[in-house]
Amino acid sequence: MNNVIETQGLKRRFGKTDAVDNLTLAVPEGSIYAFLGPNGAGKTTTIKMLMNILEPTAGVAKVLGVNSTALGPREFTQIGYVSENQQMPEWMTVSQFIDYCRPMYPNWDTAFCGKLLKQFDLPLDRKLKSLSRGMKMKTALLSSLAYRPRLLVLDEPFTGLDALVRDEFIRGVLELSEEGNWTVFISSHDIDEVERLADWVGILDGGRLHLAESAVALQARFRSIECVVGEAARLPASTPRSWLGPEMAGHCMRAVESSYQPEASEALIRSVFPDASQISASPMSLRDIFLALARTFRLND
Amino acid sequence: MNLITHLVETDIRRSRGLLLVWLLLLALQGLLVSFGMTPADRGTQVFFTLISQYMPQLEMLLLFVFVPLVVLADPLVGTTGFWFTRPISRADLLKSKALFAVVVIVLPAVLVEVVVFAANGMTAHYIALVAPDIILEKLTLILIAAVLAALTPTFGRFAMVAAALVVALAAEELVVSWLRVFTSQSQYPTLMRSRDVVTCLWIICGGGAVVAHQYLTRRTMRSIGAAVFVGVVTVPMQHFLGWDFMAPALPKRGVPPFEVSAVKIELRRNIFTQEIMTAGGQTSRSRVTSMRRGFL
Repeated sequence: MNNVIETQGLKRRFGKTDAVDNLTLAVPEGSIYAFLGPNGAGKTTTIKMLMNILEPTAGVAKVLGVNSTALGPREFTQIGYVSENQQMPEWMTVSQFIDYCRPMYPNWDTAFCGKLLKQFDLPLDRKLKSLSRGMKMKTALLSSLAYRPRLLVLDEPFTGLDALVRDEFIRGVLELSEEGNWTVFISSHDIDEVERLADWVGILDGGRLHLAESAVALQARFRSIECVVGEAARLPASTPRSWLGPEMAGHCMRAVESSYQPEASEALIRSVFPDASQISASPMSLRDIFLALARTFRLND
Repeated sequence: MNLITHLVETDIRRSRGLLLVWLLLLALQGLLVSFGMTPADRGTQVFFTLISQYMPQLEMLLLFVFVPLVVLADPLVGTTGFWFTRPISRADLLKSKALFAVVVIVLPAVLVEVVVFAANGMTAHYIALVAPDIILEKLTLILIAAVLAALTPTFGRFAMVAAALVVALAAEELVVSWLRVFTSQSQYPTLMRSRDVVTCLWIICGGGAVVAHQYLTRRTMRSIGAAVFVGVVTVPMQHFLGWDFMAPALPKRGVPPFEVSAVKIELRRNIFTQEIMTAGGQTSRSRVTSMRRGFL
């Protein structure tokens, strides 16, 4: 499988702070890649480097096979970019905005644009500055989809959107990604929203990528384990490395198993707590996995 | 459709209100000067004179709003510009802005001045001699505004930097006039004009290079360094350059001395026209320029 985005040791420094540090990631073609991390993790800086808005301090990023610092008009006809920070030409009406964007793209699909207009229910005669935040994001999305880009980059697209608009937005992206072999790279600190979308996940914290794998593998690997232990049982000083955030609550031991395999994990629990009973392993949501990992990163830092 | 024309059209649509004000101002200025609007009553005359006097200042002020608004519509500083991630090449954007400046700002201004001169009986020969001077003047102002706008992210920041520049220029003027007392520099009109021309050319070339560099590379710190260099060099150039290339050639030995009888001064309508013929029948450009200054 080809990678649409590849980075190798990517770094960006602002003064004495490394906003992004030694980032190496690969985004497979056709995937919906959720780039997760708390606020200030370095997601937007990474995307700005990928889009040739910022220059990396060190390392290399390739987008559609081209070095990110060499991205030009030819590549941008294949890339859609929607960001909460983007300055839209607010003096234009939706209709004028579409007319403004259309001549830039030889691959602009007018019929598809019409379909999106209908789907997003956008008022053609209203100025962008008078639109709500949700409408504005949908207009930006339309202007980034109508030419059927190979890669769609969404930087925190849900910020400030109400639940209904978020849902419409997500459904829109899902429907569209099913139409063709598009790659979607979406950054967010709102994990619940991207859970429905993502088939690949990368977790960034403090400028470092702590995890990058497919959502299926991630959800198969992580389990919330619980068991009842004897009265005198205590959490040993050294617990298995695959356990994240083990804790005792009365007779109950809880942990997140990050390398879950049914028999091996149960055996591991019994090796630590020989008298363990009522062992359960429940699947975890992406949000819970993210929180468990984030807590561990913080403790390790 | 050509992308450059598309971008120019977008800029025209975006700034159509200001563009209308700009064209009206030029037209009014032209009307007042060229067609001898001399009302009978003294009060209206004074009013008209006042308007005529403040028109150039108003025009300059408007340029300092118009140019940055067009440049900052597609900002070069910061990370939020819409055009950064659209298939617009940096060179195309630069070309579109340059085309806008020439077609929408310089050309109408030059046309109005040409009409003013023509309406006052100035010959095509003189107009052709004066035209470069008008273009030089307009381009200098445009380039100063464009450099500041290309290096600032918003209009607010532009206004702050422009205000700081005005203060710096006033301080510079103060220091230079103080220096003049000690160096007892001569202030020949032709020398002053020579300095003006060289300074304008320097600002146009240097400023143009800074703007082009910023558009093509978006390396703001380097562009700021270059702009500061251009600005710093401008100061001694404007005040201490000794090359008076506009001075009239001295008569050669044996050639009869300059005859006062060859000077003809003619007063037409309310316009002051001056024509000085040299012994060889040539008119120096500097004189045409000073004549133009007399007009406005």
